[in-house]
Amino acid sequence: MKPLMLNGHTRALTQIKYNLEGDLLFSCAKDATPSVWYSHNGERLGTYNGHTGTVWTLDTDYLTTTLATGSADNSCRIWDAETGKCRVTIDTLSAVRTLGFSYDASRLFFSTDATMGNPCELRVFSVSSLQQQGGNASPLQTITLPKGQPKITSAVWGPLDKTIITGHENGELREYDPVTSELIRSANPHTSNFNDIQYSKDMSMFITASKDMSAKVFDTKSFEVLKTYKTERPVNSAAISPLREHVLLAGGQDAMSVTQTAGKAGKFEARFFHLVFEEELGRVKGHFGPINTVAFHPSGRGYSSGGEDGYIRIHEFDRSYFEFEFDH
Amino acid sequence: SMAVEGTAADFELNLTEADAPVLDERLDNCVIVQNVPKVSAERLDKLREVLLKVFSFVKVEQLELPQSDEGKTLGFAFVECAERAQAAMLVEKCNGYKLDKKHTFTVTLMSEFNDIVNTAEEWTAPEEKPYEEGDNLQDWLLNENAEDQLVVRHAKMTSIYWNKRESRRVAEERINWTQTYCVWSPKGTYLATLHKQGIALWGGKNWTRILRISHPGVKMINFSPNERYIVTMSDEFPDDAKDPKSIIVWDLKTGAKMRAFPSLQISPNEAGAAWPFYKWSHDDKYFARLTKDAIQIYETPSMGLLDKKAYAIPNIMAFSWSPSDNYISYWVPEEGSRPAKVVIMSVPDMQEMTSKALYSVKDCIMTWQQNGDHMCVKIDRYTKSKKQIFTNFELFHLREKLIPCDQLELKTKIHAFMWEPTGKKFAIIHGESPRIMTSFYELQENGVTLLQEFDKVAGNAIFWSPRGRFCVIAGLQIPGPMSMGGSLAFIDTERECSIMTQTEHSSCSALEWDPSGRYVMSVVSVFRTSIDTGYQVWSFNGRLLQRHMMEGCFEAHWRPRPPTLLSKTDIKKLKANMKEYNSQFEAQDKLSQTKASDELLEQRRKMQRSWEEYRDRVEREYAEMQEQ
Amino acid sequence: EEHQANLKRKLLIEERREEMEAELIEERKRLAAEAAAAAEAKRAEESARLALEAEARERRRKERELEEIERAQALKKIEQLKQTAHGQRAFQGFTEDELANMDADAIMQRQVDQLEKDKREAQAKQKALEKKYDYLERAKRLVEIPKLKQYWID
Repeated sequence: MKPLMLNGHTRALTQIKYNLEGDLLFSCAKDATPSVWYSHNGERLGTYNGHTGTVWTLDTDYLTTTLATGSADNSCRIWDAETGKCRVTIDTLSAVRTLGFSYDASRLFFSTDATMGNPCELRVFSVSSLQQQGGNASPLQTITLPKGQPKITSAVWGPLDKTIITGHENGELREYDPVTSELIRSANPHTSNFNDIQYSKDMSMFITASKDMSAKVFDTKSFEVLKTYKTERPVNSAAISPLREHVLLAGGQDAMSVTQTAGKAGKFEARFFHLVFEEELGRVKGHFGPINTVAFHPSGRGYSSGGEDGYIRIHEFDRSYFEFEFDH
Repeated sequence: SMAVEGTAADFELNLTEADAPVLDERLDNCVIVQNVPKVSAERLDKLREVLLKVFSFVKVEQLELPQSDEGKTLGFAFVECAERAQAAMLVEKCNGYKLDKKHTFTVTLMSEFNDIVNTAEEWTAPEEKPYEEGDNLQDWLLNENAEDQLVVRHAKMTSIYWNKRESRRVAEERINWTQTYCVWSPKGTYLATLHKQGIALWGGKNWTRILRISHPGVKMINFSPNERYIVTMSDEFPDDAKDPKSIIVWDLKTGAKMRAFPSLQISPNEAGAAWPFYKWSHDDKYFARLTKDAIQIYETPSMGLLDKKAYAIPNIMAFSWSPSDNYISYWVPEEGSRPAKVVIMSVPDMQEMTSKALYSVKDCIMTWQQNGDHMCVKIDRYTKSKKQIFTNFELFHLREKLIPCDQLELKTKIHAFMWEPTGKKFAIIHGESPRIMTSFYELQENGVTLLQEFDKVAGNAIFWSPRGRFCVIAGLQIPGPMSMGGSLAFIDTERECSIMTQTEHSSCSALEWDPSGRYVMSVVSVFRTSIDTGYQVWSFNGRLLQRHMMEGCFEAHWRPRPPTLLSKTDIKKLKANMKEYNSQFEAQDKLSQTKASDELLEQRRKMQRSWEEYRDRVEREYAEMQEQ
Repeated sequence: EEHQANLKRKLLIEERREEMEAELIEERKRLAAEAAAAAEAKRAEESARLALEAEARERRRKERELEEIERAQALKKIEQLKQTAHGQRAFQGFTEDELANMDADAIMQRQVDQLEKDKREAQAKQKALEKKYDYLERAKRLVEIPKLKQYWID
């Protein structure tokens, strides 16, 4: 099937996410205007206007009532997902790199970059107190990474909202207790920057994407590396299919080393691997620059990708995708 | 960095030789540049700036300009690149770079520079193995699975692989096997490697050295078609008319020097300046060279000039041997009222077999069909106003009485022409950019017939299968304005011509058919790009079979095969029995597939089992948690 | 005296008459204005009805036009497809009438199905061709091997 091409963003995509039902697709980019789209026809419902810099990250709660965004304009904003009204602005000292609502949507964490002498911080808020007291509400907990420690580049809530799992710029994986701020454990699965962490549907596993050209699937409970997928390029984003035993990897060279890519069709590929066998299943070309972010539709019947080229491509799988099986 | 504890004394006690730092580690990414201008300390920054600009196509990590005690630079530089492949590229592109009149760079890999410095007086070839009597030089032809070989030069490694359908297997692999490049002999018997001191020929089952030829500074080599002789060229010797050393013809069986020639001083644009200077006749009987107003034809094995004199042809521009007969075609331009002329003559009697007068000629290119059945002259002509150029083709039929000639005229720019090796078809890429297209023609009873014009097949090079019928139109990444991105169109010229596959191998700069016409190899070379170098193997109809990314891949070439020993009747008989063979191969393939896949399947099964166990455990734990 | 009274009465009568006349004129004017307003309202109503009708007509016309365009497109698509080999196969066994009644989506679907089928067939054909050439080469090499060995002995 021909993908839907959404060109509402004027600059490189940074993150895309479906809501729980999969009828909406949220996106943020370096152009400061997060957007929401109908996933079935690619129509843009609206934009969330207010940020003044690159928006690095976004998340919605499970009811799709609230959207949170984190930006390089040193703020985290909370929006009414339906009306696009900005409800809360939390000012920070440096860029907000990664954030997430807890599964029950009662809490929100975000992490900031370590820049200009400001440390990398992981802050946890009560969503209700944010809504009542606005941006001045004090966080439930602030975890400050000591100077010299690698900053957080990707993070998600742990199982049952009891912990926060963080990926760091040196390839380190950590787990923090958001109540006591204790570092529960850490591991060094990658040798370079964490670019993405995404859960499997049941959250028993998560996949990590790293600049070290690999993606890995972990057991959430034990942190054990279950599977490794190797490529020849930095992996910017990775996702686990909710339907089939597939994983999706996307990336590309650094924007710097990309040479001329003019032509009829973009060459940058999303790559499918078999979850269990770690073998490549196929590739989907199309983007004109590296792919920065991918997400499976919650039904597993399609996926979307957001690229350095400013495009979002919504793909629906055709019959052959569902029919293909490896012999074993 | 690591924290160091303990005192200096502890250190001394604990240190052993094995702990000593390894200096050589990064030598592979370093080059030494000689003949750099010597400047004083004040101008050091300026020089550094100039050099970095020259080297800007690679990522320079460090540029070191050693200075004397007075602060003057010493005339050489060390450059450290980010990657090995980039260092190789720096050598490739900047060795011989003319900075100004006085300074021409010599660029050498540090590792090789050390080799040179450490070289013993007497040259010893690497990994010498004694040649064993009975080591059959054609052993590779006995492969029962009909596999062919290919050589790949990547980084410092030269690898020879057996090409299987969807994978490869190493036949031989050596580090620093050659100092510059390597070449297969025309029938595939030898692999020639080039070294500072000369060339070496390798072959047989164990890749032993068959022959060593000493010709210091050898730059170019050219085998005779039947592998009886080899010509080597070096530009290290100022020519002495009495004892020339620039171009040498050698006997390949004995290694004996047969004759030497001086390097005629020819400017690069002049006729006959392109290598090979000496062109061989198809049967190794003659070799000939173009000189001013003449062709010099030498006879083997006497190595004497035919009829003891050069064959005078005033104003001759170019000549070409037939690939099947001792015929030479040549052309001379217009002179005064005399028209330009294309001539085909026979050797050694020098009889003109046919000639054709041509008018308003700007340039001619002669292309023989591989069987020698046809010869095409592509003629660029001026229109009457002399303002525009149009092209026509004169197509000679060598096998017919009086050698008749067909004409084809095209009004557009021609980018490539190529005969089907075994048939009567030819392909032309033509048109003005960006509307480049490809046309296929055939010589039929009633003249030249257009089979098909593909207006969406653009390219800059034509590659016919050695067996004919199939053809790849490629848009290679090449120097110059015609460079393209690596598009590949696989075309079947049977009946009306059809495109089987249109695809691409991004940035590929070379393409080669295997000798059987079953496979096509496309190569991305580090000479053109540093990203994703390596090669891919396609089926003749454009199905991607193998993808090999190899760091710093320079080039890859299929090993040629001698002509088949099968007669036409043999092949006829064989074709009649194909049913039997088909079932035999079918069974064989199934078996080997099963064998190969059994291993893979077993591994997958194992992975699946342990995965299922894992998932069961997770689900059990989840269920237990819910109960609580 | 009486005369004075008569004069007065006359004057009064005159005044009354004038008053009545003025009232009459007013009344007539009012009636005329009312009539005019009623007529105006009626006219407006009429023109609104006409406009509505015209709009409806226009809408119907546009719908018809659109339908016609779609039909023309469908027919054109079918005509185009008939020119191609796969199109001919896709619409084999359909009468002109049946074709005329197909909508664009159905045509598209048929085309997609036919293209997929053609693709599968072409792939199978190419695979068979690959096999044929591979087997021929392997047979040749097998036959050549003993000949090579004999050739070396000679």
